[in-house]
Amino acid sequence: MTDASATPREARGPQQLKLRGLEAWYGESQALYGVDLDVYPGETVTLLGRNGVGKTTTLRSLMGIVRKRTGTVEFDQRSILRLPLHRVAHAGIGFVPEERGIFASLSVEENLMLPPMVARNGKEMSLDEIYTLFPNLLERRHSPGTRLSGGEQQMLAIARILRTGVSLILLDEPTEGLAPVIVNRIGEMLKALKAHGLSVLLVEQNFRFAARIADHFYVMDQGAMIDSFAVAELPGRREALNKALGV
Amino acid sequence: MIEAEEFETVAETTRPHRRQQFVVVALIALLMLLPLWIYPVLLMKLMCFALFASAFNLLLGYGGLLSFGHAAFFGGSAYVTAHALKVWEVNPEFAILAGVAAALVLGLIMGLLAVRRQGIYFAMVTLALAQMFYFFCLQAPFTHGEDGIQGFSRGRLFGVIDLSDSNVLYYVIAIVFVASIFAIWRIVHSPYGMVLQAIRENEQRAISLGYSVQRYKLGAFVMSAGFAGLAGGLKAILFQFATLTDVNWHMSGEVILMTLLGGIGSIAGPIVGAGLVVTLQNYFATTGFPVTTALGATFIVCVLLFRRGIVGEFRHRFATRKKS
Amino acid sequence: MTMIFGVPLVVLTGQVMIGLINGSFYALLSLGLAVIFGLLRVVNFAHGAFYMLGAFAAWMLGQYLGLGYWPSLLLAPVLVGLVGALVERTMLRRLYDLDHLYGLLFTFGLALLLEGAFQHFYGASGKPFAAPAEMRGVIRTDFVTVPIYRGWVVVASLLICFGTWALIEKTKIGSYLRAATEDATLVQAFGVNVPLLLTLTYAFGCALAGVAGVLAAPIFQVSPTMGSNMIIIIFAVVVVGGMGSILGAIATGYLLGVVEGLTKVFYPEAANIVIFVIMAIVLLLRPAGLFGKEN
Repeated sequence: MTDASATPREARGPQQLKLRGLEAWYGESQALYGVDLDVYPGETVTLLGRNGVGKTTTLRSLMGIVRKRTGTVEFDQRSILRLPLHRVAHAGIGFVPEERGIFASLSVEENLMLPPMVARNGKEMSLDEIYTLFPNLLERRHSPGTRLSGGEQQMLAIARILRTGVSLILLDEPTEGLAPVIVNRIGEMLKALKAHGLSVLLVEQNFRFAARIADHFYVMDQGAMIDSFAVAELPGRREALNKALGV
Repeated sequence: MIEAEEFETVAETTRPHRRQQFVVVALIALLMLLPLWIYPVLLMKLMCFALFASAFNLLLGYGGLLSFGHAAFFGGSAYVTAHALKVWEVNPEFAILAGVAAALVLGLIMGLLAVRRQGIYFAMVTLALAQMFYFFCLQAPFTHGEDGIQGFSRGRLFGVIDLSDSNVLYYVIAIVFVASIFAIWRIVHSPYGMVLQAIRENEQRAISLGYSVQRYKLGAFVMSAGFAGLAGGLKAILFQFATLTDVNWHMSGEVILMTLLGGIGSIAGPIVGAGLVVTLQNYFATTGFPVTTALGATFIVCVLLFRRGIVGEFRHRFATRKKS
Repeated sequence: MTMIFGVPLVVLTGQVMIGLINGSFYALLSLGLAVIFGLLRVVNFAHGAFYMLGAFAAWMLGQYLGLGYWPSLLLAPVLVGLVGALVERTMLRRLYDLDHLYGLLFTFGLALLLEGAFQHFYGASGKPFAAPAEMRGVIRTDFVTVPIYRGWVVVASLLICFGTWALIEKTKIGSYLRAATEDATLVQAFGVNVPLLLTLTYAFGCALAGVAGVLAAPIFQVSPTMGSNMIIIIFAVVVVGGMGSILGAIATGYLLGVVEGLTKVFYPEAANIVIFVIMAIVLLLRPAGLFGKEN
């Protein structure tokens, strides 16, 4: 991990995800004003910023959940801006929403099996592997998804994306409202993903959590990107960051 | 709720503009002269349906409630009016009052049940209740089943004015029509109407502001039923019969189409829409093209292409031109 | 002869049987309505028209192609489903982002259009449609007399209803449907072709109405107005049952059919309004419906 963060990002190869000048609107009101962002292969990138500055909107816009947008969204050097929403996943992007999106009318196993496979590239996790990693899910696999605890639901939300073989995961505040023990487990899990070669774009309020796992940081304010730096530069930036994040 | 921006915004027009006043006076004058050129019975029919549609629009356009059962009030009142004229042999004004009273009672009963549900469920409940009333009319002896009530005279208004002359009846209906539209306009612009529209825009908010939402809705429902009943009573007097057609669900559909076609949520919309639908019906009846199919197609085109209706579309074009 | 409440048992069971047959249609139709509503949030007013279309499709397949009952029972619903898919693709999907009332109004217009067209071309009177030859007999026992065909209708509708339930609750595509009912956007973001799912669901719901129409053809004759009479009752059924639950829709359908059948024995004058009366009572006591959740 230390090796990876010491080398420049560009050494990882061309960007896996590239946003340039991304603007987005909710109805008439503009939410993003020209967002630039890169995720290189195998990298964990964290998007920081206060509440309501457009982090979630960035994820939802690049996915295509927010449809009204302009700019460049490239994944593996292919524009995905005009793809219908259901094609974006098949390009190799998995989405874990902030509210986790566990379906009450589906059992745990059905929730797990819901997202279709998008690739068989060795990055996908089999059901067995998932159950070995999360024995709780195996135990509760026939009960409704929403009967799980908050932490278990978060595990489920991530696990079901891992099964599909995506190469980039968008994670929206996975630690929100969870106990520290669970947060640690999720941290472990993200490191495991990284070891597996997956790229992660993480939106996070919990800066200390993010600092442990990220390779690169972006900071947003008022719908625009205001800063970008590698994890190595982190110590010198603490002050400015605390200010920007209002902590 | 049905798209808010498609409604007339009424806040700024609590008092009519001078120019608007002029237009209204000119229109009323025109209405008084029209029988010189157009067959009065057709005009009277138009006014009956225009009033019916305006009554319906009071509920949908300003209350946001889609009733699929307004035929019950229209046809129910027609039956009672006809029955009062034929069997009780009362003066036409009392016959109409009896019809309106029946519509109000029916509106109260149906409304009490229907306002317990919202949106599409409200529509389905009103449809089902109206159908129940239809079956009642089908079986009740006083409606004479398939034959309907017919063979009565229009009588003398206040015991004096002989309504059998269609030219006389025309002015009676015209006066009632203008007065009713004015009354509806007043209701819409009253504090009550404002609350009603606030409920339409955001029901949760109205509840949190402490308004008894169900009571406001019920009030709108009953008033709408009353005006629909008035229209039905007038129609019964005009054509001197009352039949199952007027309580059939097709009639409920037609009044929706009139309002939708003309423009939901404006005073002029339903009137224009009623005129168009009645004209369309008359036209298609002569061509042999199935009228129901034509109405269905109009519905589809309306919903898909111009949900603002004719008046709404016109206003919208006018407003955007003014802006630019 | 055995008597219950002063009514011969055979009469009573006969009416329960008739009630079950009506209930079969109520269940099939309200099931389709509930499936469509669950995902598309459209109250399909044209459901009655698709039911009529199913009956007419079977009649036409027999009339013009000489197909028998059994092939028609398969083919007619497929045709109705195709019409449904076409309607959804070309028109209905433009209304999803609008108030749900527009979906109701659109499908109402569609119902008028179809009913009017069939009335114009085929006349208002019913067309006789023969039950298949092997089902023309009657089963007689001590306490019930059932024409074989009617027995078949009850069995078939039960099979279809529970088949549909199993499809939705137990299969992969059913899990897509359930999940999309909760959050269609997220399911689409996972890579499921939700627009296609919507088309298939509408087509499937319409096909269910089509099956009901074919099953009904030998019992009620084939007539252009058969659908509009039915749809209003179905609306009352779904108001009673609530549209939130598949099993609820099925159970309410059969239940109200039987209640209606029994009313014919004890108080015939009220038979065609009893369902509406029950609806009114349910609205007073349990506004969300027997199985419903208000949202």
